Amino acid sequence: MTQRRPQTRTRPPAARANRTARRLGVCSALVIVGFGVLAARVGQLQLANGAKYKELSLDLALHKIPLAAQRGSVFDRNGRDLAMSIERTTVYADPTLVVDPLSEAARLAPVLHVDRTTLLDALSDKGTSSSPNHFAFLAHTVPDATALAVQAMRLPGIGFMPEAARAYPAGSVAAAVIGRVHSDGTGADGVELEYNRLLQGKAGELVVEQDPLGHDIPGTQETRINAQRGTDVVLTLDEDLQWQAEYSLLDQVKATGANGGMAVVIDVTDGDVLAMASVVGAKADAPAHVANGGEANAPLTDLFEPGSTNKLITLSWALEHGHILPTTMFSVPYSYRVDPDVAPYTDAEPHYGAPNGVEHWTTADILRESSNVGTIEIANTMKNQELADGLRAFGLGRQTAIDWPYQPNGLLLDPSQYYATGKYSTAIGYGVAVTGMQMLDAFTTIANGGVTRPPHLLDATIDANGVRHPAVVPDGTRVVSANTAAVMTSMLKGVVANGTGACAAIRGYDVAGKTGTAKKALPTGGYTDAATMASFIGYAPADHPRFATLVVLDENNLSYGGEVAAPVFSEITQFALQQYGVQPTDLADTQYAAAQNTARAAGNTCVVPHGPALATAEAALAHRLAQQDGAGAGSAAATGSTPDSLPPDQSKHT
Amino acid sequence: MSAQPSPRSRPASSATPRPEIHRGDGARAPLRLAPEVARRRLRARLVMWGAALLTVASMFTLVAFHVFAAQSAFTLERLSNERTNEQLRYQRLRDQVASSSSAQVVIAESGELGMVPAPNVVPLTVPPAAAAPPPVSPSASVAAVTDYTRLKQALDTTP
Repeated sequence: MTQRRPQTRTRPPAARANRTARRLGVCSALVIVGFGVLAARVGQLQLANGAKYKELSLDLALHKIPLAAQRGSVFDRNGRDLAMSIERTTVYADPTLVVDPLSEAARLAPVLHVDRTTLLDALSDKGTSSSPNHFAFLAHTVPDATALAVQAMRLPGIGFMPEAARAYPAGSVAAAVIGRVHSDGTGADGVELEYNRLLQGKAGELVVEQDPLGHDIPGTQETRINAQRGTDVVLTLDEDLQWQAEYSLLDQVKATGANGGMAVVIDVTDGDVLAMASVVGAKADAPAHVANGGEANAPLTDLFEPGSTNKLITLSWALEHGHILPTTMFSVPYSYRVDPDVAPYTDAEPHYGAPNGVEHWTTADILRESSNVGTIEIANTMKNQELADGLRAFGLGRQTAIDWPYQPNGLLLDPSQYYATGKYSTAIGYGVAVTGMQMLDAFTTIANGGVTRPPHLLDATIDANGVRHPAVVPDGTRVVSANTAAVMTSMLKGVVANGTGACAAIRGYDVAGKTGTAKKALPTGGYTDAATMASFIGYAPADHPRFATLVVLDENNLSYGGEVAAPVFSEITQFALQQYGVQPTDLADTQYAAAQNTARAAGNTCVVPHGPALATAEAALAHRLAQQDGAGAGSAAATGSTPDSLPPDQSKHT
Repeated sequence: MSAQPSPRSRPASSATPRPEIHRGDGARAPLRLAPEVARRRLRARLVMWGAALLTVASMFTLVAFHVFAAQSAFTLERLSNERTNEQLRYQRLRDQVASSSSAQVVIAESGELGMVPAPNVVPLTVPPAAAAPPPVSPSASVAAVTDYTRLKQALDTTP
C-alpha cells in the first residue's frame, strides 16, 4: 500500500499576491489610522491646549530661587566702616533627628546664650506623623567662635546654614544715628531706614528646572538674574569726633545724674554734620549709656523748649530790623510783670549792685547776662508777627534739611494764638518747642555770616560699580545781614569771656556762644523747679567759624547750661579744632583768661569729670541725692498757672 | 551563459514595451555593461562601515564633550565656591580690621596700657625767626666747618 502524500493546495500566484496586498493594505490603514489618531491628539494638545499644558509643565518643573542682594555698607566721612553686611552662621535643628532634646538643650544653652527652655521647646517639637517637623531655628547669625563650638559638639539633628547679618564694627559709636535692620534685612530706623531704598539693593532670581526630588535637571536652560548689590552710603560723620562727643556727654550725664543728653557738631563751612550723639541716663534697670540702635536720635527727634539760647533769634531780628543797636541802653529791673494774673518775669539774680535794683544795660550786656527782663524789653520793640517771622526765618517750626525719618517740625504758635505773655515767653525761649538741630541751625546761620548753612548727614553714595555720587546740598538763604551776624558774634564772644558761658572757653581760640537753662513744662501746665534742659550752643573760632556745637543735658535737677553743658561744649569743640588742625586764633588766651576769671568768680570748675574724677563726682551725686531724699523731696513741687506762663522763680532761666 | 539583467531594468510585464528607437542608420542603441555585484556590495559595505564609524566617532565626540563640559562645570563650581569663600574671608577681615581700628577699641586698649587723655592742650607758638645771615656757597661752608663749635654755629644760622 502506498501512502499518498497529502496534496497541498496551491493557490495561483496572482491570488496569493492579491491576498498579501490586501493584508498590507489593512495593516497600512491601521497604522495610518493609529498615527492619525495620535497626530490628532498631539494637534489637540499642542495647538488647542498647548499654552495651558506648557504652563502646567513649567509650574511643575521650573523653580525660582531668590538671590538675596547684599546690603550696602555705611561709612563715615573717612571711609571707615560703621555698618556692613557679612555672612554668619545660623544654627537650626531637625527635631525628628534629635535623640535626647533635654541633654542637647542643656549643652547648647550656655554656648548659644539662648534660654534652655526655649531650646528644649524647639528641639522637642517633632510635629505629627503625617507632617513631621524637620526644621526649627535655634540661634540666628551667631559669631564664628560659637558656630565652631557647636560644630565641635557633633550633636545629632543640629545643622548650620549661612545667613546675612549686619555688623557694626564701630560698636556703639553712632548707633542711634545708624539704626538697625529687621531680620528680613530691611531698615528699621535711623540711617538704615532713611536710606533703605539705596542700601537694600535689588534681589535677583535663579530659575532652574528641577525634578520632583528637587535636583537640577542637567542640560536644561537656567535663567539667572543677578542680584544687584545695595548702594553704599557715606555719612558726613567723623567716627573719632563722634566718639569724643559721646564720651564727653556720657561722662557728664553720669556725673550730673541727668536723664539724658545730646550733642551735635557741624562744620560751618559746608554744613556737614560731623558728630551727633545721644545719651540715655541711668534708669533703675540700666546704667547711663550711649543710645543704642533703635533708641531715639535725640537731636533730630526730641522736642524741648530752648530757653535762653532762643535769645539769639530775638536779638538778631531786632538788630536786623533796626529796632536796637548793640549799644542801645535799657533800664532793666529785676522783675517785669506783663499780666496781673501771671507771675512776673525775673532775671537770674536780683540786681543787688544797682540803685533801686534797676540795671542800665546795653543790648550786649543783656545778652551777656542772659537777662530775661532785658530781652523782653527788646522784644517789646517788635510786633508779635515780626518776632514770629524771625523765628520762622531762622528755621524754627519746620524740619531741618537733614533727611531723617519722623523728624518733627517743632511747635511754633501763630501770633494770633498768643496769650498776653506769648510774645515775651517766646522771646526768652518758652512757648516754642524745637529740636536740638533746629537751634544749632540758627546758630550756624549767624556763624555763617547770616546765611543759612543747611545741615546734612549724607556725604555721598557709592553705587554697585564703585562710582561715587556726591550728595546734593541745598544752597543757603540769607536770613540776616553780614553786619548783624558780625555784631551778634561779637556779643556772643562776650557771653563766653565775661558772661554765663565762661566754661565754654577754649585755650587758644575765640569762642562765641550762648547758654540756655529752660525749666521743663509739666503735663498739667506750668513748669517744674526740679528739672531743666541745660544747654550751650556756640561756634569756634568765633571770627572765622569752623565748628558749631550744641550740647543739651536733660537734667532732673536745677542745673544751668553754663555749668553743665558749656564744659562739654568746650571739650568736644577743642577736640574738633585739634583734629582738623584749625589754626589757633587767640594765642594770647585773652578770652580764655577772662573766662577763667569769670568762672572762678562764679565758683564753676568747668571740668567734665573722667576716670577717677567721674567716680568721685558720681559718689558725691549719690550722697547729695540721699540727703535730698532724707530731707523730703516734696519741695520739688510743680508750680504754674496758665500754659504759657512762667513760675515766679523763672529767674533761674538763663 | 546569459547576461544578467540590469537592476535598473524595469519588469517586462509592468509596462507597455517602449517602441524601439530606430536610428537613422537602422542600428540598435549600444548596451551598457552592468557593474559587478561584488563591487556594489563592497561599496555598500564601505558606506555602511563609514556611517557606523562616523556614528561612533560622533558619539565619542559627544561623550567626550559632555565629559569636558561636566569637568568644566565642576571646575566652575569649585572656583565659584572659592570666590564665595574669599569674599566671605574678605568681609570678615574687613569687619575685624574695622572693629580693631574703631575709636572705641583703640581707646579701651590704650586705657589698658595706662594711657590717659591729656588734661589740657596748650597751643605752642613759634617765635618770629631772627634775621638770617647772607647765604654762603655749600662748598665754602663745608670747607669752613672744621670743628664742632663752628659746625653748631653754622647749623644755628642755617637750620
